[in-house]
Amino acid sequence: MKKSIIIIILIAIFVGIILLLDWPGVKDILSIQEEINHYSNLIEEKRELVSKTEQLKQAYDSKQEDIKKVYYVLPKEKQIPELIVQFEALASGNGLILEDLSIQKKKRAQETKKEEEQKTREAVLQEVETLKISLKVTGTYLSFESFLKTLESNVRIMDIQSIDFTSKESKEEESLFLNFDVELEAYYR
Amino acid sequence: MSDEISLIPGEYKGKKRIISTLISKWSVLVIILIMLSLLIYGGLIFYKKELEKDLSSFQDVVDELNKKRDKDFEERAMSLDGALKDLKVILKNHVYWSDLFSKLETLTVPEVVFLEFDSALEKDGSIKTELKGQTAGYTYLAKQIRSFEQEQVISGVEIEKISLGTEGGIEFNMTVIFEKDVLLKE
Repeated sequence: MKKSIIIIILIAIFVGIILLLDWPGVKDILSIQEEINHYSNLIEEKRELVSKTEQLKQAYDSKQEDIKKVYYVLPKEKQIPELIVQFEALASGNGLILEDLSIQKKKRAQETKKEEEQKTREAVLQEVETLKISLKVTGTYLSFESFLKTLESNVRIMDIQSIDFTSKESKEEESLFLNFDVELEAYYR
Repeated sequence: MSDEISLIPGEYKGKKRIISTLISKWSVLVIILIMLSLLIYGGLIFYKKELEKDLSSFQDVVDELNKKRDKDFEERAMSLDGALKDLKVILKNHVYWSDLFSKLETLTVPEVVFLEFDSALEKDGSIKTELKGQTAGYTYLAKQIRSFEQEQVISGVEIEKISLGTEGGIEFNMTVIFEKDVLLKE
């Protein structure tokens, strides 16, 4: 009888050690090993990332001129003074008189979402802001055509939204002159 | 002479008898197992400490690699990436109105003169163009309408008003709808 009691007590102690000490210990070790594996993968990824970033940085530094061009096309700021100068140069360079110019900021995100719904745009330009520009110029049709071509190939991208023109009702010598109202959009990020 | 000769002292024999009455062979086996499990526990503690050291050194390496990151450059690169993506979309949708005028010039009948032009990009991408023109007679106007209708990039032509002009000939107002493709380039 005594022997049986002792065996039961000993088995209870054994089971207690296994359940309370060994098993939690094994679980802890497995958890740490899992964490180590995670860190090991992370280190590998980060090393690769650092190496790729280094390569990218070298490429970035060697293409500074091209990168500058990207920001001429799509500047980081509104650059309104530059726009005014550009329009003046574009008009006078093509034989037009710039009579009126207005520039307003317009939120682009909402509009592009709408456009995306209408499937006219393939991606949403979330980061892009738009400037709405209205200008009035006077000159001949041929001058205006030349102005349009120059504007279309301008470094800073602008998209005309509407064009409205009528013949100038004044002196005979000005009969070839037309009044052009143009609405366009310029972008920045 | 039935007594056995024993070299084990009598006291010891008594203790052994007490132990053997309390502990069986199974008990010994369980005690060995207990000792083994304690030994395993000790091993686990030792191994856990070693792993914790390894983990700590791995964390240090990660911290070190994080310090090596050039966050300023990463931001610049991300910004450039975003700009290029946006630029791709903008360029794809860049409109060339000079192409519309070229098309209009080729489609205009020589006897027709347009005096007013009002054109705008619609939400669906098409271009609604309202024209006010002048011509010598109805036949030329009919030719003009036919010329527009036969063009593939024009999806609609509507005549709103036709009237006799103050200086002879006729004056008219028409609306021409151009397909969005006319302003886009490949």
